[in-house]
Amino acid sequence: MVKKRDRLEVIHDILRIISEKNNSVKPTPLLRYSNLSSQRFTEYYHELLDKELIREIIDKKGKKFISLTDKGFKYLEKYKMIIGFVEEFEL
Amino acid sequence: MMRPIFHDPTIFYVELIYSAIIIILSLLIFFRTKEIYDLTKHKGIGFFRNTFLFFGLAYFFRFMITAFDISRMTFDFHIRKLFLMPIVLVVVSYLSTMAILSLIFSTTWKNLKMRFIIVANIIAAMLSLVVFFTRSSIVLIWCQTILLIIAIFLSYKKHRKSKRFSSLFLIYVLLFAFWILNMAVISPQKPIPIEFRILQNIISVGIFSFIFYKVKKLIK
Repeated sequence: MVKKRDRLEVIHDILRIISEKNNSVKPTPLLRYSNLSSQRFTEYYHELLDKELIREIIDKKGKKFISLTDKGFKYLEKYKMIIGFVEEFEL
Repeated sequence: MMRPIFHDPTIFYVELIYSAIIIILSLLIFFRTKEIYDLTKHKGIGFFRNTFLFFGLAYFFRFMITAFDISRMTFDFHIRKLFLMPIVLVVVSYLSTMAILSLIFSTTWKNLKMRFIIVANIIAAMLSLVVFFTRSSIVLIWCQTILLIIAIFLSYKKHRKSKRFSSLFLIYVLLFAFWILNMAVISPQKPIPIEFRILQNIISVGIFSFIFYKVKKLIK
């Protein structure tokens, strides 16, 4: 059975997808790649915006793109360390 | 100006150094974990950090109780006995109970569905009120011992499911147990030999140092 991803892992996956798409991806492909239901994706999406891990950019044609903030890049960089910490202290 | 008169200056200096080390270690753990908490807003990390913030503050106020008891300083005896001590004891009760509950919540928050902050504050405030009206640290020691037993039970349930022994569980139990002992040694009803106090202080510093070492190793 495939293990359900926890919150930290889902956030990491979303941020990693954005990073791998040259730090610019539209919401619909991001929903598809993230492998989440649209309701759960929306929840995570707003959470990431609130936490300032991602930001929305509107181009000249009015199309919306999502990119990582500095904080988002830092999350990706520190992810292994964060997981190690959470597991070590059973948090 | 009158110099402070200490019943036994050695106990005062031992307590001063001991409290300073514990407070510094607690604050180091708190600030060291700031970045990963800011990035994730992970509830478990938040409770873990709060544990050490509350412990640091609790040890600071505990030192004040010790200082009041050991020295007469410039405080008038009646003011000290009737006014300052109960207030400081209430503050210590509140902070230490919050520390213990935060540590319990840090490992059990996924299994317990409740409003942690409200529940913790209600329990800590109720315990502080009981301590205020009874003006006894013995009541605090007994109440926190009950919390320790509940924590052991919850942790046992959690680890029985995962079927693995956790060394961290032992560290947490020791952390609680030595806090309770820390309160017991300053209880006026039972004066404890200084050798025992020093030994207990060394073990407490060892527990905090071990946790700080683990945090430092993981967060570079």
